[in-house]
This record gives sequence, structure tokens and C-alpha cells, in this order.
Amino acid sequence: MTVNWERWPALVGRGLLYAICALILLFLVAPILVVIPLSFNAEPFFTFTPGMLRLDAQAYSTRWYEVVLRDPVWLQSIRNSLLLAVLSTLLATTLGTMAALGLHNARMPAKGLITSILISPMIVPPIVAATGMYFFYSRLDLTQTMTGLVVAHTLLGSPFVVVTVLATLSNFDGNLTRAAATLGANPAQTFLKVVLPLIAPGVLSGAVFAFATSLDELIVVLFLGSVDQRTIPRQMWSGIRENVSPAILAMATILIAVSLALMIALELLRRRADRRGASMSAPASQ
Amino acid sequence: MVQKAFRRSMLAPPSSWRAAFAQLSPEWEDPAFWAALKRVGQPLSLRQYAYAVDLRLDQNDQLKLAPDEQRLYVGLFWRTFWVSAGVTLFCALLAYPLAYLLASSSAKVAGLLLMLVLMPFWTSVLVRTSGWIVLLQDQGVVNDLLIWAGAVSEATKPSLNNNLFATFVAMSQILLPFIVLPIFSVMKTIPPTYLRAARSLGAPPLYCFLRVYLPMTLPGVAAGMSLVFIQAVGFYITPALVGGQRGQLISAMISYHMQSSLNWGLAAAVSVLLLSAVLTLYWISRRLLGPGPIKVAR
Repeated sequence: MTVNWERWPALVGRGLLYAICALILLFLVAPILVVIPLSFNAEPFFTFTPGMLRLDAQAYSTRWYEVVLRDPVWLQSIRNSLLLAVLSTLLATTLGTMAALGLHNARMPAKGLITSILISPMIVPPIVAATGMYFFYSRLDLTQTMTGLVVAHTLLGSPFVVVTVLATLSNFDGNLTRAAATLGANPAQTFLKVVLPLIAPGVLSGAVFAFATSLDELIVVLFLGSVDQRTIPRQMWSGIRENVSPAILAMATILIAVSLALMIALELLRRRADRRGASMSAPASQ
Repeated sequence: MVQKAFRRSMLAPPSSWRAAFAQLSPEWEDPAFWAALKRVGQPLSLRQYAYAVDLRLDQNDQLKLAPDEQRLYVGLFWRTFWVSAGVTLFCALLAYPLAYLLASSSAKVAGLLLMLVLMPFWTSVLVRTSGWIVLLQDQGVVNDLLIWAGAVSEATKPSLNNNLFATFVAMSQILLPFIVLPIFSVMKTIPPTYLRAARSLGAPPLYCFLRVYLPMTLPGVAAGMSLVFIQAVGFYITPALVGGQRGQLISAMISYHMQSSLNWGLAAAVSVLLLSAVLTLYWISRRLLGPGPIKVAR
């Protein structure tokens, strides 16, 4: 291989770019990766023991996973988190899709205003939203109830569905619904057989965002939930603040696996949508 | 005291109310007491807003500065502003080269790198925050590495956790993906032929970058920066867990008054101030950038 000496400044520049980017990527993934080995710590510490550094098999164990998956408090938090995420995702997806369909209709008045209101939970700081919800929901006796949390998480998740479904609808050919109507389909049939299958990638990726939002949400749970409604983030929060045990890191590792699965699911949906020429979008967290 | 006065006066209406009250307690002669009663009797008051910006309303509804040792909120608002601005700038500096690498790599490599950028994005904030505690605590990985490398000794190792530094670093890492994505999506749309044209016309590389490439990518940078800043201003969980005493932001006061002091009026006043700041920022960014920021990044 011959070296083109005239190109060396460009090569050095490229090398420098690689080096800098490697450091930035390390900064991005280090706090996630460091959690994984420590969750197998045999000792009740948050730090690497000398044994772990020597790769001594004795220094590693799965005891913290047993704690997380056996302890009744942790189990309750897992159950609550899943129930909350599933219910609020179903509601947010249904409501968000209907809202997006309405906003896509050309005859819809005050579109800009309605869209701003619907996506405002993405912009309002979560702590401000949770404060407002606390005052409002206590009037309705919804504080310290699972129903209240489901309503709140539906509210926080639905903007993602509105945005993703609207993005998919912008590539939807309106003639298709008219064609279906002339062929004798009623509006319900048109929606279920023609519209829904075509916008499904947008609906599903919105659902993935709503699910991830609910699974990671903490502030609303802190403000509105009682001890009976503790979720995984709530349990990790009190774990970090009170007793720092590697059980938190075991749960964190499980959550990393879950988020990896969600990310891959969304990537597959995105590819399907890309093939249809629709644009997908990314979420906001707090 | 009020109840006592009320009960007595109901039993036998006196001839002179003032004398009767004074007889019950000499404090009724003090006009400050009546003024206080009137103030708390008002259905609406700006008292909490005054409190939230370190002012007090005195008896005559005049605003005055709170005593030095009680001034807390303005300082916290400023700290929130400066930390958010710093995090935004730091994120922009880190995001630019990373987005450039993504945009200039082959589709396969870019896809892989994008996964690395997106993984933190999808990981729970609590997971990432506990990761930072593992890294930054006194016996943490960073300090261990510094000692191993001989940069510091056990005695001189820096305190990295439970301070403003930890808040800054953890917030930057958590918000970084939000700015990488908009810059990347703008860079992807810039045809490489523009740069080749500039080079062939004799522009040196640096000039080429500053005058051709950078201006075209600025909309993405601005969109990402406004997205990061707006989120940073409202951050609560991460500063609460790694910030210690000195690394808290204004959101901590909302949580404190909601959950510990139960001064809900003050919590609501601080919330409204924070919300107005965020909405103003959002409005300005929409004005400057068009409806872009939300669409590009989300």
C-alpha cells in the first residue's frame, strides 16, 4: 500500500476526529456500561472489589438479582410499573391516534392551538406538570390512587403518539379513504381496514415512546403515588437515597436490557416506515 | 385570641368595641395586628410570588428585599440559568464533532454509531444517574483510575460527587443525545459537493469549514441547543441525586415545598415562574427557528 503524502493533513484530521469522538462516545456509554459488571458484585458495595478486578469468580454472584426478583417490595414495584405502563400506553395510543386523525382533517379548526396544547407535556418541565397535577387531582380524589397515576401517565405519553402518528399521516394518501368509501365501506371499516394498517408503524412507535416514558417516569409517582403505588423508578430513587445496595444496579441492568429491546423494536418500525417513505421521530425524556 | 374576642362579643355586645377588645388583650390596640388579619383574609395575594423572588410584602403591602440570610430563590434561579447555559454549550461542543462523524461515515458505520448515541437516550434517567454515582463517588471508578495512574493520591483525590460538578457532568451526558440528533439530521442534508466546490475554488480547509459548512449546520445546532436548554432548566431527579447541597437547581425548591414544608402556595408560585421562563424560551426559539426544534429532534 502506498501512502499518499499529499493527503496527510486530511488523514491526521480524520484520526483526530476519531480520537475525539471515541472519548465523547465513552462519556456517553460509560455510566451505563459500568453498572453491568457491578450488578454481579458478591459484596454489598457500590464499588469494584479487588477480587472483581482480578476476575476472581468468587467475587461475582447473582445474589442481587435474587433480591430484586424475590423481595416482595421490589416485586410489587415491578408489577406496578408494568401495569401502569401497559394501561397508560393503551390509553395514550388510542387517544393520541384519534387526536392525530382529527388534526389531520383539513376542516379541523384551530389546528395550531390544539396541537400546541396536546404536545405541551413535552415542553412543560415534569416537576411543574406534577405540581399542577397534584393540586388538580386532589380535587378529584385521584391522588394516591392507581387510576390517578394511569391518567397522569396517559397525559405524559400521548404527545409522542400524536407527533409520530401525525408524521405518518403526512405521507398518507387521502384518496385511499375516498376510494374505500366509494367501494361501499363505512367509516369504521375504512379506518380499520385501510387507514390503520397503513399508519400502523407510526401508531406502534408512538406506543413504544409512551411505554418508555411511563416506565421511566418518577416525579409524578413521587408527588401523586402512595406507598402502595411504588414503581421501579420510585424504588430505585429511595434505594439510591437511603441504602445504596447493588440491588439497584441489578435492577438497572434489567432496565438496560429492556431499553435495548425497546430501541431495537423502534429501529425495526422505523425501517418499515422508511420503506414507505414516512419519517419517524425521536423522544424527549426529562 | 381572635376566637376569645369573638365569643365574648357574641355574648354581650359592648358599648365601645375598641375598649372591649383592648380589655381582652392589649395587642388589639396594635394596628399591625389588624393589618396582618386583613392580609391573610384576602382571597388572592401576590405574597408567595414576592417570596419566590426573595422579596417580602410588609404590613402596608410595600415590597422590600428579604433579609440577606433568607435570600435563596434568586440565587437558585441564577444558578439554574448558568448551569443550563453551561450544559447547553458543553453539549454543543461535544455534539458537533460526533454528529460530523455520523454524517460523514458510511451508512453501516453511521447506523452502528447512532445506536451508541441512542442507547443512553433510551436508558432510564435513574439508571444513568446511578451509573454516575458509581463513577464519581469518593471510592468511585474515576478516582480509582486517577490514583492508579498516579495523578492523585488517596489523600488528595478530588471530591467529584455530591456537588455542582456532578450535576453538570451527569446532566450533560443525559442531554447530549438531544443535540446530536438535530445536528446530525441537518448535516446529512448538506451535499458534499458544496465543500468540494469551495475547495476547488481555492478555499483553505479552515475557511471552507467556517464560511461554508458551519453556517449551513447552524439551524441544527440552534435547534438542539434550545431543546437541551429548555429541558435543563426543569431538571430535578439528577441534581437531587448527585448534586448534594451545592448542586441543586430551582426545581429542588418546588419539590421541597410540595413534599416537606407543605407550603403549596410557594411551590405553585415557583412552578409558575419556572413555567413562564420555559414557555418564553420556547416561544423565542419558535420565533427564531420556525416550528423546527420539535420536529427536527422528535
